[in-house]
Amino acid sequence: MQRSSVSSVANWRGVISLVATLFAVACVLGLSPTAAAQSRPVALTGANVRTTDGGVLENVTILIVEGKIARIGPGIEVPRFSQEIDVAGKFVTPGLIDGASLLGMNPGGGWSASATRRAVDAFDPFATSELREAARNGVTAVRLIPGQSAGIRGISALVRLEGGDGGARGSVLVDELDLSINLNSDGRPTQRLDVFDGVRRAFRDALAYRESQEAYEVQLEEYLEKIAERKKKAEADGEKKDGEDESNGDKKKEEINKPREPGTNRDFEILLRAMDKELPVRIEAHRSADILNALELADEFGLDLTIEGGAEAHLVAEQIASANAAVILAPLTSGGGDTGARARYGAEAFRILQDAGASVALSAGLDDGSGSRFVLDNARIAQSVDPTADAVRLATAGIAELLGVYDEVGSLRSGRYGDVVVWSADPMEPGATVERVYVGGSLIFMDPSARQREARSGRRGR
Amino acid sequence: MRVSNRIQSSLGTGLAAALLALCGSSAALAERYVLIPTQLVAPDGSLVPDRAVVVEDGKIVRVGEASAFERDGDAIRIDGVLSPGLISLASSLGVAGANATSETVLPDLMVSDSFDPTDPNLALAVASGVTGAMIIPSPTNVVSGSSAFITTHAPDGEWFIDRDGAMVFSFGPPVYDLNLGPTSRSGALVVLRNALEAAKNGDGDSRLKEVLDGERRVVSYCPAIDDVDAAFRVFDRYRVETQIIHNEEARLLAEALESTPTLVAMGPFGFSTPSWQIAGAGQVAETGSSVALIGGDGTDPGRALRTTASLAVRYGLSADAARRAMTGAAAEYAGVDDTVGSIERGQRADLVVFSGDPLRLDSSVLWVMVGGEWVARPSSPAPADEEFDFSDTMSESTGESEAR
Repeated sequence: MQRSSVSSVANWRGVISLVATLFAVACVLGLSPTAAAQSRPVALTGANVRTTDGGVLENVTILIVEGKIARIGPGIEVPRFSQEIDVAGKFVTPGLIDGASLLGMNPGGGWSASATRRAVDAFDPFATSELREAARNGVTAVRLIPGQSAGIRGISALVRLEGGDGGARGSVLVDELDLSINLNSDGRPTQRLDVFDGVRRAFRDALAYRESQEAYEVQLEEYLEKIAERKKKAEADGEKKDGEDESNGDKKKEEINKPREPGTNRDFEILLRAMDKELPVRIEAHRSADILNALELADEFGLDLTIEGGAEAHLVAEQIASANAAVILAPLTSGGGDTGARARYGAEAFRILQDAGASVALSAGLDDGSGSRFVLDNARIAQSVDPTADAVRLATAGIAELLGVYDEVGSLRSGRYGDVVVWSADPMEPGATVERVYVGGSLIFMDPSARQREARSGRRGR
Repeated sequence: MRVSNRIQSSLGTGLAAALLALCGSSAALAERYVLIPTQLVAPDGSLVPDRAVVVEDGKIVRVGEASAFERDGDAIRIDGVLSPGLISLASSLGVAGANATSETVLPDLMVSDSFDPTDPNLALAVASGVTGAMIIPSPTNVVSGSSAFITTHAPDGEWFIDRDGAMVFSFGPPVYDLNLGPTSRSGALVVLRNALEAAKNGDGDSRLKEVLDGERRVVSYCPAIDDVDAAFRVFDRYRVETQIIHNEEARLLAEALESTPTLVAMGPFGFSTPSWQIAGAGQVAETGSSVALIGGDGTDPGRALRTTASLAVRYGLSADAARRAMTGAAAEYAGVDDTVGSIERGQRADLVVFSGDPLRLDSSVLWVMVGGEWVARPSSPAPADEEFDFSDTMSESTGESEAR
């Protein structure tokens, strides 16, 4: 029947309208199969690509198939039916990644002690202007942190900006990236103590929870053994003294209690995963004293630690390096005015930490999600104090490595996600603008003026 | 080279060695320098290669083709971009207590009276490339007092380039005061109009009379766009031109300026500033008004200013206008453009060498010259000198921000 209707021209219209209806229904149900699935291979040809040693490779073709970079290099054959985009003379970089961000989130403050809170749950796909601003500045992925509250904040995620309208849909690349803790406490010394104490207690309670779980396992085993024993005995006794009632009363007094099951605590389960180093722990701490507290926590509970924020991290750079902790620095500048202080010391901190041998990365949206627009600018500031650093690398591969997602994003290697940015010129030049942004091979942003230029020259834009 | 400043005493050894290596021992002590940078920031804000700048006795005496100075014994080839020293506008650098609360019409207040030359932020400003600052009284009174223009480095104690500058008028909520009055926008305007009217009739303040006679510049501090409107209304009546400090609603400001082009100071812009607000700088520039940028104070005002300018470029201000907004246009705004703000003959030799375009955030400050004297080379390794210990300054400043 299916075949006949397809072959019948008259029925085409019906089929199309049916498909359209189904599609509409699917969209309404949130099952939109659109943007994520890249339909045709995309080939960017003639690109300039920056190499890791600061050089430039010219006339490179980047072929993106099914959302991933299939091939990259000069003289690559473009498959038929590909969407070929001539980017001759333009620069292509991996999509920029922010190391910590509240992008598209409306975070609450206050105190939290819930490890189960998930950052992705607070992501607002309708924060379109903020997301579009990030996309038009070349940002394709952010590490979302679960709000700004003090204490154990919850689980961070790595989100790629997918879908139309500058990536409003967002797609989660790593759902449980790390456990996020905040020892920062608005400058109130008493609260500082409370927060640290609360966090440490939670980890200790989690250990006690594990002990009680293990004790329960043992008790349960013993109980089952006893039951089995009694059963055996009863069977044996039953064979021997059938019908004798006298001793039965005594035996009943010897009650065997079933151990009480302690119940599952999902918060503790997460903390235990952190203590087993299955989940990295990123602790926001700014003051040197708070950073030392974080190192202490990591030591006591065997955590895989990254310090986040770290306004005074350079003061304890040696300790951080010798504890093998990484650092994700807060934005090196923010609202102007007095925050110039942070710009200076934040940037210096980058150099001092690197000199001490700690691995350092950056974040632009830690204080305010809209800051994620300026990932590359933030990295430029780092480069100004350490000329050996490369801002583009810091904003792509550098942060991807630190977050453990380098196999998926942050470079233009084959097999990686097709998250790429086309720049009008070398992105290190102040006048360079973002012309196109692809996520998984789908165009999520295109500069309107570039679109006009292309329309004029008769080139196919998309 | 005189060694009298804190920075200099700590950085002096390294800097002197560098200069000795460059110019030979006798030249290091001379007051004449011929600087041949890779590029320099021209008065129109563009970057120009192959120029030589001759500095003598604290002033720029000549700007010419580099080739003419190839064989000059004093020539220093500089691998970097030579810019006029950055200018910090609407600053409170070195200002301690310029917010009188005795009355709300205070034309006699001079911010220069509350200048404290021992402010450690002055040295940090120099190190960040800021060589001059227009300081203003805190805008909490309807007539807040007169501004001043300082240099950020004055071993001879001559801090003021202009001790008594523009009169600062303040509009909007900062001036509302329940005890002192006024308590509303209209009330504030009544107070202001009465003061100006009295001055006009000759029985008011003589310094306000200077304003009405066009002998003293006017700066209106306008937090909201309504305040810009109010300022134009008040001063139009006396045919007095007012300069504007406004940041928020730049798109509307651009509309208001279509009919009344003037000098506008905007900023600071940071990572959290909304894009449409940053875009205001470019929009205002397109009206033909001159845009100067405010970077804010703090311990690295140069970087804050360059960040502001760099973001303004991202959202539409031309690069040349942005470089001017930190230097020449800022000097014009402060009314000292005949003395500082551009690399031209006759200007004070306030110069900064950046490793690249000052608009590039990855550029760093290499050298700073104030009044013809090399002051700082902050990118050299932090000195061991206790007086300028980096971590000390840092904990001080964090302590401050925590207290806030």
